[in-house]
Amino acid sequence: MAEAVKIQVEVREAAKNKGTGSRVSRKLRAKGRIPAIIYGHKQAPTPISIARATVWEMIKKSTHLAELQMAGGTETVLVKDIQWDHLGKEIIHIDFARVNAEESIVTDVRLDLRGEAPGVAEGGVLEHLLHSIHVTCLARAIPDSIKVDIGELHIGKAIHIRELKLPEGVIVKGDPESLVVHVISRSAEPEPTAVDGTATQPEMIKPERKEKED
Amino acid sequence: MPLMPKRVKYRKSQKGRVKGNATRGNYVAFGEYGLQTLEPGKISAATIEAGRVVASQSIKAGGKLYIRIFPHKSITSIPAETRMGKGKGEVEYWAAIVKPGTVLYELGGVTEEAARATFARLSYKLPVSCRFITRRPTL
Repeated sequence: MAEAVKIQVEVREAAKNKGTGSRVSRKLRAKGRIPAIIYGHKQAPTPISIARATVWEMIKKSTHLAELQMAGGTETVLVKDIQWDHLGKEIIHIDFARVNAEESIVTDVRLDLRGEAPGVAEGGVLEHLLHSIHVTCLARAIPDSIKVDIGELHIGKAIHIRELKLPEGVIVKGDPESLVVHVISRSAEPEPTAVDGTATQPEMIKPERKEKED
Repeated sequence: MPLMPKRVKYRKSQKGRVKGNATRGNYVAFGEYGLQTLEPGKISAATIEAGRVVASQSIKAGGKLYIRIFPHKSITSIPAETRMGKGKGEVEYWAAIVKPGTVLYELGGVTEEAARATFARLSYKLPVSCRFITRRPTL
């Protein structure tokens, strides 16, 4: 697990059109800062802004926890949500939730496939169905990722959530029978269908017409 | 058979305009790599199928292809040299309406180079400009 990243942030004024609102947020983004908010622990939400470069650094380190240093003191927070633009190029807004290091939290953890599946060499297709899972753990012990060893995955074999080797204190939320990854044979894939020139029409759902009242 | 809805409430629809950006279906959800449109437009069922065929040939069944769009909209046309009037034309084909940001295809179980090469070939078939994308980071 990675340590909480220390980030310098600026507190925004909570009043609309002064520190918050779409117009202010747009101006912030133009200056290279990303608007964000801190909430939770039954305290008043605090609008803040972070330098874009710092956010990308945090994403590269893929840390869940951050220590936000601001004028009013330091807050330990968990990245709750990231809002992206329509193309997924830029971050528009970030939600941070206040946490205590000893608090039990629910978060998403990435699943990392390790090794090479022998089933692929045998002519199968590796299907990675689940890329992240919901886990419950202590805030100070969030794993960066959960490693899934696929070194023994032959054709027709699968790894389910129940078979994952989890770090101590981490509990998975969700169906233990859910598939994480499997290797299927190529013949199991549906055969490509040829395009038929004669297009048939779809079935009509006739809208019910109200009978005129005399 | 080209893609088309199984059941519809109305056979023909008005033309409409494609406004705004994609707010749904704009990230890689199933595979590892995706092909994202940068322009609004309509992609016919035949084009979607052509893209699928090209991708299947390119990856040679080595990976898994996901088609993220479906042709829900019927496009009508009137025959050539027809006088004005006499009602709306017949359904010519079905098309998917896409907005900037929509992920059209996804690939999983292949290397990044193979995915890039496949999507580069596939994008020649499409009437919109596209870009290659990967999964968003999980935090």
